[in-house]
Amino acid sequence: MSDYLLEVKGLTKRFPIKGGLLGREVGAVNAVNNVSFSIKRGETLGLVGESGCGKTTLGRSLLRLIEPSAGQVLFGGQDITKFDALQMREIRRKMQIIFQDPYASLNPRMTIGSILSEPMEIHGLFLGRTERQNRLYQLLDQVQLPKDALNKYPHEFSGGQRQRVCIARALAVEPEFIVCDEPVSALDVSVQAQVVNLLMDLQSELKLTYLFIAHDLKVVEYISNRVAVMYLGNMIEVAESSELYGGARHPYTKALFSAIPKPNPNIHMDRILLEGDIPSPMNPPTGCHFHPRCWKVTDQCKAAYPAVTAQSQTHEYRCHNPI
Amino acid sequence: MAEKLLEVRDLVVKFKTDRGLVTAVNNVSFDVFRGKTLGIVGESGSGKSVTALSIMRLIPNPPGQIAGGTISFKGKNLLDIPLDNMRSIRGNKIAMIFQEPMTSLNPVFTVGNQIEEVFKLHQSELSKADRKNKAIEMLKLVGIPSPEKRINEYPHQLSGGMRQRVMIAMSLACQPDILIADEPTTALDVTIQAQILELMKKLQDELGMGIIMITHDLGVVAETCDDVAVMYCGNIVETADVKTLFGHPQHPYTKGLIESIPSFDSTTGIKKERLPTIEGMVPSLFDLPKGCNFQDRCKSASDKCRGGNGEPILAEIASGHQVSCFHPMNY
Repeated sequence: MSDYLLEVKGLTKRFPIKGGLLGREVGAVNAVNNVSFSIKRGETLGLVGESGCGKTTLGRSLLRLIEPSAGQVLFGGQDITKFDALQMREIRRKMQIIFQDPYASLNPRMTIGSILSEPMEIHGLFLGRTERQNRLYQLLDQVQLPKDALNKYPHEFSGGQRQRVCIARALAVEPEFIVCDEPVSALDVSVQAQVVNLLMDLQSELKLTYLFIAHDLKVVEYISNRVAVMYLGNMIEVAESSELYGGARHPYTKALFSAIPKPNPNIHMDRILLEGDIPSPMNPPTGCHFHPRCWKVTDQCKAAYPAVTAQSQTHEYRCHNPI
Repeated sequence: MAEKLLEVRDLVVKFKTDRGLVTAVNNVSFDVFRGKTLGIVGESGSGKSVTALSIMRLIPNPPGQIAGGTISFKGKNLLDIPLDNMRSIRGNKIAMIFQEPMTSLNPVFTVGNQIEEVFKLHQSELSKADRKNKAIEMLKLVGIPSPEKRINEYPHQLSGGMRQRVMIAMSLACQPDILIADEPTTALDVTIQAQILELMKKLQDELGMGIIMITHDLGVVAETCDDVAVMYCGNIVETADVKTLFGHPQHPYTKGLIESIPSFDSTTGIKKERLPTIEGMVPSLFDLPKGCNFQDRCKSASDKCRGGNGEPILAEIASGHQVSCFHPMNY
């Protein structure tokens, strides 16, 4: 068995833009553009980037919740983009997702008990009455919710508790891989730390593999073994999280990290202030997409998109003039 | 000492709800000085936005009601003046920017139109052409490229960062003495957040206004504020200058908040195995415990905290450093 649980090769998602009287295609957005990466068993890969960079689209296309336009997603060595609906249903038992907004992702008319039972129902797991009951208690215990939660409705819980319910729902079918799409962004600071700790405990207990998507770099850096940075649909740098902070090679990564406000009034870093906004993905700049905002830009950057440079086995970047 | 612009004393704000009367802000006092930034930090429901809205007298009544206290702006109690007269202060002397720039701009008017409206209301002597020129000037001030063109655009044609710049331009149009910024960068990406915070700092240096920065992000506080007030369940639980607060937090809640931020230590590359957390969650305002509001989540809680001695009172423990706790952490 290979070391890698998930291997992604050349994944692309293209959204056509329809316009005009006849609804003809007038353009396209490459939300995810030729992205390749892999995640080892038991590892957490963090995925960061600003809004619109394609991180959520990437996360969802791994589970084929959004159908990828091109490329391969190998899960345990099998290319799931070729799977039919039945095979897909089976494999989804092993791949789950936790969404950002715990207020929107739980059905308000279902009790916590039925929310947690539904995935097991669908996959035909824990069918016996007592077996199911024990499993439900076990799940609640794993996410540290009280047993009486089963008969309550989502509105009776706070944001942090709802996110625990979402985590329990993902765990119900005993997955191997979980896409965590901004799981703590909607939570208050003091609750955020609790959920981050919970996710890390569950990972070591159940040998889970995570793709952890977030725009909060501090959380990502903390929870991830490796971090990938995206900009306008492209993965521009991947490295060990400890390496990325100090040793970022791509100017955008460097700027992104320097933009985080430090919770220490005694440190005053020289901040790299990026000019301008993120360009529209409908009409990305030529060459390297980052060149209009980059302070190291040369003619080469305007002409050609940089290829991947592998600095080491774990550190790759795409830049003509790395730092 | 800088000029004291605003003095809030013992502010109490209550809301009538179906489940009874709720005290959203309880005996809150603070000062705002010219050229300085006061940070108000707290989690959702801690009363920070309600405090800000009270200063503007924008609390909807009913259900809300300012039940006590004074808000003195340059010596005049804003709670005494008739609501109609508040208009000459709101947007003119005290201005506010909100979290979500899309919902606070009117989608059917051009941004120029919306900035000119401020002048129409507060500087009616200006001619139409003057108003337009001043609007262009404001857009230039907040760093919007080609303002002559942008002035004719609608909010949807601008990015989130640009919209927030327009909001700032609008709020600063009359050169207010105080700017209240309610989570001004929460909806923005980090690189844009850095731009906006930098811009606010620059404009404060130029125009000398006092800023009230409301946020839940301690990183933003550390970088932008001179003084900080930490709110919990409607009360200020600790207030100090920014360096003291981060260096020697006295309230267990403040300490917990600071510790629960994931931090990367670039020098060692070692990260803490587990994040220190604050156990439990914020109690419901309908069902506050007797005594200290933080007792159920506090590691040093004793019988004293559980009601015997009443609520802890904000008391000075060092010059300029106040904390409301029976068992402060000590220096």
